[in-house]
Amino acid sequence: MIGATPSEIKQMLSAIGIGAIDELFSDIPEEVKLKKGLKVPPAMSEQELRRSFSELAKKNLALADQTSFLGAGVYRHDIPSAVKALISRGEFATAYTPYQAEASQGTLQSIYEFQTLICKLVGMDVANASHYDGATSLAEAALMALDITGKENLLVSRAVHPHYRQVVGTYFHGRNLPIKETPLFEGLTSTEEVEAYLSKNPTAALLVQYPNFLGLLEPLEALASICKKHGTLLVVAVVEPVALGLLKPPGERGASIVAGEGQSLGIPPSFGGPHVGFIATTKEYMRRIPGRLVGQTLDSKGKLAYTLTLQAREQHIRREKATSNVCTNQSLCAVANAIYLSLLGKEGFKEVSAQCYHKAHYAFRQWTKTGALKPLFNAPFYHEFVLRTPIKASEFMNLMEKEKILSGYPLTQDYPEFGDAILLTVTEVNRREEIDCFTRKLEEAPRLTREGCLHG
Amino acid sequence: MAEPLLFEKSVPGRPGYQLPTLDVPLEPLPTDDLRKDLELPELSELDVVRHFTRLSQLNFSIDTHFYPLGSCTMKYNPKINDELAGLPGFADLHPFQPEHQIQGALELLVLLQKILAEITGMDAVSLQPAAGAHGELTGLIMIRAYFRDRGENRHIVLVPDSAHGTNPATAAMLGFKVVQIPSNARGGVDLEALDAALSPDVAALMLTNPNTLGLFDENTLEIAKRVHAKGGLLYYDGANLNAILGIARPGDFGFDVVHLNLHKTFSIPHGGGGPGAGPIGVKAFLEPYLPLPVITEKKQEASSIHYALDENRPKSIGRVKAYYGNFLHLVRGLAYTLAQGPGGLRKIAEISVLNANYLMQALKKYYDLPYDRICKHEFILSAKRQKAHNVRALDIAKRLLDYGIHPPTVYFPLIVAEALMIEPTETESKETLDRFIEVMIKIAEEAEKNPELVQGAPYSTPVSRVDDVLAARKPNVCWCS
Amino acid sequence: MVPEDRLYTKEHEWISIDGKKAKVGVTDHAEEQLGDIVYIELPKKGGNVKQMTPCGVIESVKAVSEIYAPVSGTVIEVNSTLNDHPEKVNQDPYGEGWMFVVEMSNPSEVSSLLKAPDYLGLVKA
Repeated sequence: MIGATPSEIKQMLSAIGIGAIDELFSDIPEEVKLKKGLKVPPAMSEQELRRSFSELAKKNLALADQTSFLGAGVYRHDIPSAVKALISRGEFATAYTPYQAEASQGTLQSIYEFQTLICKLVGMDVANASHYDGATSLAEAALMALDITGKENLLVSRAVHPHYRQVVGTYFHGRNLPIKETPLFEGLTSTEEVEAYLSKNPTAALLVQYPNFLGLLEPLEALASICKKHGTLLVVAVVEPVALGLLKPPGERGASIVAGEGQSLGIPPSFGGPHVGFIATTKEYMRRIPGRLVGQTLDSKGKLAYTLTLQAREQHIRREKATSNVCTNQSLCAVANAIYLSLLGKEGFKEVSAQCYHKAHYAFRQWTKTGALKPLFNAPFYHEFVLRTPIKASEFMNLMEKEKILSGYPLTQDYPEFGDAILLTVTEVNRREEIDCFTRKLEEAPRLTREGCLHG
Repeated sequence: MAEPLLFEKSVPGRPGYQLPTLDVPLEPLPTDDLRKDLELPELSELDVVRHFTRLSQLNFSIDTHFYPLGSCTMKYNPKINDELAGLPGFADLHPFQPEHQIQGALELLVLLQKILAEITGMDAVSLQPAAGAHGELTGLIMIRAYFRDRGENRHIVLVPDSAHGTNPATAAMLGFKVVQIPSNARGGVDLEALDAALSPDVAALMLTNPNTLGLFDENTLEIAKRVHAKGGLLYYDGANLNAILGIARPGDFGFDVVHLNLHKTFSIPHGGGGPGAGPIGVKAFLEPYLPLPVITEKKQEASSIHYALDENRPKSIGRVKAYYGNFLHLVRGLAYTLAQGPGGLRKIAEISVLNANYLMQALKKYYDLPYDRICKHEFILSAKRQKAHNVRALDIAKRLLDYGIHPPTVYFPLIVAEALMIEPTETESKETLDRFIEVMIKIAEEAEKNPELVQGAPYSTPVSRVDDVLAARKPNVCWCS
Repeated sequence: MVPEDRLYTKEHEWISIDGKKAKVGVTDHAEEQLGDIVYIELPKKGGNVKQMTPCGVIESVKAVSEIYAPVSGTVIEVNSTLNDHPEKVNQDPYGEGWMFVVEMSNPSEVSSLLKAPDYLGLVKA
């Protein structure tokens, strides 16, 4: 991957007026210069790389090679081919941050469209040009709430994704800020507990997830009115934005800030990243939002144009007084979101959202009917739900894995109070045969057969 | 012609995607929770493909243009890396699959950790951070946790005046007090000012070396000695690591924490602003503080190794990102590194530095060169001379676009007036460099003889100079019908 | 241009005094340094400000600057026109671009402010 040939290197050295490349490094102290090459594997050709990485990839079991009811924050949805084809274009993939607006109108307009689509989806006025992921977006949203309210306490629902809670915790502990977890009642954030805490402690924000980590629909309006009474901002994490094709957006239910994850919108699970976060809010708080923002404007001839705007909030200008230290966003993933949402369109997206709902509810009914798995909660859910396993959750999952079924996410570690329970997810890519096959396995339990479901 | 917005092109009833027929019975919907309307566009697949293809064609990119953007290391992004990242065994993998289903992914991560530790001279690496600034955040939280354990309450972070904005912003975000250290006449850290600022309250000095002037700080060992003597730690901002790959290692200079930008040095595509990946490396005494999870290796019988995710690390600062870093980018970064080998890594540094010096020598007759000494992989020119004709760095940047070249970074670092920060990288051919020289000389002439021409640039881009003032005064960041 | 009829701070604010009331703005020099001003965050009406502590922010596209209160007291009036027309500070910094009025709590603070020729000297230095 080197541009220059040996004879060109010679010409360049003589143009600089030196004899050897080593002279270019005379400013580095001799005692720290490496005397030998780095101890890294010898160079590989493209062919060798392909072989070696394929071997590594084969040591993993792809989701497509089994029946998966695993979600818990990362979701399998069908991705139209056009998404990858378009984001793989070098003009998108190998461009830098669009600081030079005249040479970046493609990225800028796409991001403006992303911001708009996110606003429409979550029911807010302003969305940033994306952020690392949902968890870090939630942490930044919490810091933003601190800045807006001037209060320090943070209240986080226990029904927020455990990784998200932990990331918020790291950001806050890193700064010595207090953070408190609020308990659940029947799988939902307890309004009584929230009321009790907020009435005693001046608090910047309440963080909840919608639908929550357990798949349930939080009573956002009730929580919002408690928050409002106490001058606390309601920050809502949307980890599964596909739900919003069907459900009322958090912006219409009293959220002040929505922090979310866009992986569901055209991005494969990718072993957890890159995914794409976003932060959306009302006009009132537009100048408090961290990260890049694209705005519409005019060029010197009066033609419509796009540019990064309100940059004075950001670290490259405000340095130690910036709203956040963020620089890099997840631009290419945001463009993937925009492409996905425009391909699915209004009807397609509603349909995907509805199919997830219907399939999950069908599965819930079939699986609980067997008596092998028992529901834990009664509240309305979207496409995920918690079931109690007849044996140890880990043992149950091992048995199912032998049948090539990935039977969800075990909750034992994160929610020991639920006993042996698993979180199961059904999306539009789960066929009825898969659901029915799992039902049969449950009926046969504990006498499970050796035949898998996948190719049934 | 301008490309209309998706919403403006929408036609009611036009589908762009077909789902299989629902194969389960309809279930009752939660009527209180349903949304009334959903304002998404309605377009055919062809509409969408043309729209985004046209938009992409409005961009400059590495694949289409020379991109000498200082401090951003816009090198060529090899296509094989994208192919490998797209393998179903990587892309179609869920972070919560059981450990024995993800052994290949964990093995890959461990290999990359080891290689990055060797390249930087550090003892342990975490691949969690999503970007450079996120690596800084992680590093500083670890530093704070380390001092807290030692019962020390150090609340100051030192940052040179040439630093990237993320350095002071990160420190401030964590509640550290930021103290700026001026640069000396040779562009390095002013040692006297450093001494004056050092105290038992100083947690760390954050340093980019080579710095944002493109200069290697010759006092690097002395700086490390003095900071360590006062009990402080040294943080290495790896934005400019490209210049010293295989030549020298920050760990050997005395740095305690480093972050790398895989989207700079290790060729993963910038994607129009991200995603990135910002692994951090630390010396052994900081290893217990690494973010969760840490991957462990256990030898099993018959020499096979089992990789496990260790979440039980009492001193860890906790999780900084959901799941395991920007994994597919880590696949790309590993592929790039393996393609180089030891010789190739060193060659990257050599040629990127050669290219920068070649440009610097050729251009210093025509532009002000504030630091006239051997540079590393980038250098700074100042448009001071051109400013006398009312042509500013920004005008030169915009004029370059007319010649099909992406401009250098302008107005950074802040300590040089009218700065143009030029980083050619190692992947550009001599013809490209020669053409850049030719164009820069031509623009210098234009600035002198026909300043209006340069001031009015660009003329050949999809839009002419964009009105940033209007955008900021009347922010329109969301399209409303 | 530095009008003689008012006092100045080292941070480039001007102050025009009428009894206990002090009108505050930024100088021509300040607005020129910043360039086109795009946004101004003024102190809240009814709020208290303290001498030489930041009480507001001025933003241009590429720079940010804090507004320091030249004197301590209560903000009794703010120029809300600037919310929609921050350019007035560029166009007329000493007139229509005024920012807020403070009712001084400690008028003796005025003695620490600069007179026009001294401020001019500072800017020219």
